[in-house]
Amino acid sequence: MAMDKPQLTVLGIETSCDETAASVVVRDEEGRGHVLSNIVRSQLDLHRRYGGVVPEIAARAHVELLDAAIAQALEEAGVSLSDLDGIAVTAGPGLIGGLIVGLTTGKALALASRLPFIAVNHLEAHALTARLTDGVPFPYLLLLVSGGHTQLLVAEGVGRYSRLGTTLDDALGEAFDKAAKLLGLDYPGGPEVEKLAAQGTDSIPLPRPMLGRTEPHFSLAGLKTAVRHAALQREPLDAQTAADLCASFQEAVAEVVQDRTRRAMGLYLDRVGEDAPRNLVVAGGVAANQRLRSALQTLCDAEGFGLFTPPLALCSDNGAMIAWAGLERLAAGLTDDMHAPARARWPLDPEATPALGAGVKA
Amino acid sequence: MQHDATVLALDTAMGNCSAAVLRGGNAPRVLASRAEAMARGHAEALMPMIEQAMDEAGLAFADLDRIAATTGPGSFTGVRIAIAAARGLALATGAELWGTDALSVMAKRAAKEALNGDADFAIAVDAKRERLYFGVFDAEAARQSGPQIVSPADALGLLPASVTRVLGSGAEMLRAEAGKEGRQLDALAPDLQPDAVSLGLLALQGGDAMPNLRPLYLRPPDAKPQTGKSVARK
Repeated sequence: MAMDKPQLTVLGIETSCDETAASVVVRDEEGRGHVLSNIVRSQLDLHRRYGGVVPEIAARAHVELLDAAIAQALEEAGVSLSDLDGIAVTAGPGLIGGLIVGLTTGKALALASRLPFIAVNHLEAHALTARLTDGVPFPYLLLLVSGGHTQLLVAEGVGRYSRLGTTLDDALGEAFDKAAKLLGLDYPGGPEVEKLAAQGTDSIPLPRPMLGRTEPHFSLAGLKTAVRHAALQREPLDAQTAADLCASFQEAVAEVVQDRTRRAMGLYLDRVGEDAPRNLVVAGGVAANQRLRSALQTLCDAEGFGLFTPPLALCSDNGAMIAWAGLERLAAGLTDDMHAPARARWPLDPEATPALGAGVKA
Repeated sequence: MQHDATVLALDTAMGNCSAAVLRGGNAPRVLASRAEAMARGHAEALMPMIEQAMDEAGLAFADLDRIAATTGPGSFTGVRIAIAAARGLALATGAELWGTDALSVMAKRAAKEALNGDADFAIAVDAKRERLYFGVFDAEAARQSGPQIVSPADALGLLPASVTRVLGSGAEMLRAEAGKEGRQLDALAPDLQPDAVSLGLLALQGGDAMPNLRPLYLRPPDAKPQTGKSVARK
């Protein structure tokens, strides 16, 4: 589809968790995206000894790192602020202290440079990344899996999402991190669990919560508890048992995700019709897990869906996805003013009824 | 600072949210200012205030020579708002950055509004958990010591014998502490807050630019290193 829009260039700013990130992305006349720079200053070293992200430490780091990250993103892209068509910033959901730093900085840049300002939903940015990398057309089925979110949604258009399923308790990435913590692995735990799982076998029986349920919801808390019990029964753990636990946990997760996503595919087709595009987009940090990817590839092959998993650098938190979401919104004529608030909670589908039995994170 | 420099000053450190545009010279002038008392909501309020103040002053951001922010102490989130705004504006305009602590801004305001009775004085702000943000100033509001975070007893030990006036939300705590030792203090101006106009006046007098303007927290973040929740390994 020819968009006949002029080329647009946007700076994206991301500070919702523990990455201080800035990026410049161009959307060309045909609507294709080009990442000119993508600066990510990880704060991992600041949080490691606490075994998780400490919000106040993250916010303190953001305010000291952000302007230099922006300057570097502009420099590497070879553009100045006057070359831009807009400033896009994550306004939520996330840790409020960091969000406020990014939002305030972005507003200041937009105000002083007299540029349109775009307040971006971090989850929408994850959702739209496959359009930056692969030009995936709407609608598509979206599996969003990160440290803070586990959702299945129909992406119908910019700003239009229908939630099919969510987690009733822990997020998928959180479950990986907690399993890692239990086993005394390094932080962040997800990649460590995956590494160790490669040396083990799926030999320890663990439950598959929610398997076969009609609504494609998730529940990870029980699985986490089962891992803890299995570990305590085998205490003290030798290296092989720890690896087997990781492999067994990862298999349980892969099977659950495959089953829940299969169910969501059916609901997706009910909603968009049999003739609509059949594509599954996986986004969020957990999309980096190779076992999960292969389980979803198997599912997509069986169900006739195309699978799109953005490259690793664009799966985890980054500024390019924020810039791209800003570009999509700007091209659709959606901008915000200086009153735009930071929002710790900001669901993609505010109309979705709370899942039965869901906790506050659902 | 050059003689007729133009400054945008931002304060979000405590219970006030304010922005002011000032121009220097023999008689510094306030070209425009906005201020609102608020315990929270600074993040949403500040940028519209800046927009309005700049419009009223009839200035473009490129006209600014210096952008100033109160660095703290105060609310952790609050001090970051003015500093993030100042750093963002400076990146866009090339204006220089400057800042000073919240107690110096409060002292400047107190002297300007003749709250200190033309005498040396102290500022004490209730920092919660039985602590004060504390500083000592001369009659013209030049800082003699502080800011620091101390218990009321320690603040009393730091208070010169000649000083009898204490201003700010923590003044009453210090007066009560002094009473235990039979020392007489006057606790004044419990509602005193920093404000952008006073900060702007200091920024016009102030010294060198501070390219790495950063918050002054005086308190570490609340965070404890992780204690072992892992199972035993061989």
